[in-house]
Amino acid sequence: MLRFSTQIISKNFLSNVESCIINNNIKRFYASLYNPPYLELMKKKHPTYDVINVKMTGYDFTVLESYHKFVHKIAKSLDLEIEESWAHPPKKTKIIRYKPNSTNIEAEYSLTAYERYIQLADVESPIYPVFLRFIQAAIPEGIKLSVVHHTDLTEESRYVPDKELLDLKAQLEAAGGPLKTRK
Amino acid sequence: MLRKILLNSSKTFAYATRSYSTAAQLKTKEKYDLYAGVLIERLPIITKKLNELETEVLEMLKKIEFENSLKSDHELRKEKDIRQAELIKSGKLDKDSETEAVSLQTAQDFEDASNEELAKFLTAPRITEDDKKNNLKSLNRKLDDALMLLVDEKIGNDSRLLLPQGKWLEGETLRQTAERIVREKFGTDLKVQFYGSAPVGFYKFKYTSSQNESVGGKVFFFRAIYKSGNIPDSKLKYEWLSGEELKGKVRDSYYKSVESFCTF
Repeated sequence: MLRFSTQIISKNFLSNVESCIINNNIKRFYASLYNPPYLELMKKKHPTYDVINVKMTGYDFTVLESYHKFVHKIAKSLDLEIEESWAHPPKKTKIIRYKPNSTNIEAEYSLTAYERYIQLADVESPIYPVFLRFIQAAIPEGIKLSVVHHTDLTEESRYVPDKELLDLKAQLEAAGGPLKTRK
Repeated sequence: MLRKILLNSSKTFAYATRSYSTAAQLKTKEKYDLYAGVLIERLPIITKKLNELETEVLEMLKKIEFENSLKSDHELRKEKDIRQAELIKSGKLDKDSETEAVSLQTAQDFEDASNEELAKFLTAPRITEDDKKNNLKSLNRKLDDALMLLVDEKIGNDSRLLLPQGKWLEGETLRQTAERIVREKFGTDLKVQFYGSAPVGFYKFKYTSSQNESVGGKVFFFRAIYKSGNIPDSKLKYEWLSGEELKGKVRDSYYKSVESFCTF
């Protein structure tokens, strides 16, 4: 019935504005005829940030974890898509204080800096500043918050390199490399 | 008839195009000037002090955690040292053969040295000098609160303490207006970070004396965070106020519009 109607409607019959309205309505009808309506409805109404990482670092492990939980809760309550939520291996630093003008150790401190990440996907641009201000308002002491893009380096530093494997590989290289022919 | 059906279907899709109607009379709309306002916040530097109930609960939780916890390395070493010292004293243990455990510094010595170091460490005061003097122009007061920048704006004949605002000019976005206001009023030294291009608040006011054709102004507020820099000591009257102080210094109608995004 609609195909017949498009044939009989010509530009001479209707004004430009009216023919525009009709064409658009026909397109919309066709779009929703074979596709489910939720595909259109699920699209975000504002421009989005693709993928952002909320990074939290701190020396106090318990406080950091509870803040990580809090940020997760806030993101969930704001209906943000939480892709992943992970921890990086801790970075250990040793600080040695020497007695003046000597190499005698006066005090030794070993600190571990822990890292937690939350990855959010498709954050709408008007919502993101609200979310950020919210989590900034509740930062506990000693936690450093930063929002970064996801890079290859972040992904690589997530894993602890296998020392044994690397040692064996180095030994193999030193011995002359792997066998080129099959046994 | 077909044309009518297809045209009417546009209404069901809630289309945005308006139909031309020569017969309808345009309602005389009141003209309002467009302003952009900026909320510049200095985020809190220290956490808030715990009240009575919170401190009590914290103490109780600490005690529970301590009772449920296992002994740390330091505590085990201390006990071992005490046992060894007793054994050496009673003569059951040879002093020379077991010297590997008796290090240069026993656990007790280490604890004493650590306590001494802690006693020597001075924490910065929570209430700074500017707090005592109540210097409203300084950023170094109320470290546990977020401070907001307010300036004396000339409205009509009198001046009032408001969030910095300025008129929108043709050809720029509202966010650009906001950035321009910050540059013009506070100079290029003050560095702020704007939080998004979407305004966070709105305030409508009417002019007391009619200027041009506009009846009044509509202000759209943008959120910004203070990063660094100083406001040059000019004749500009400004104050850095916290949420409660703001409430007292600003008109009720203004506070109503502003409290939703100002008080955190």
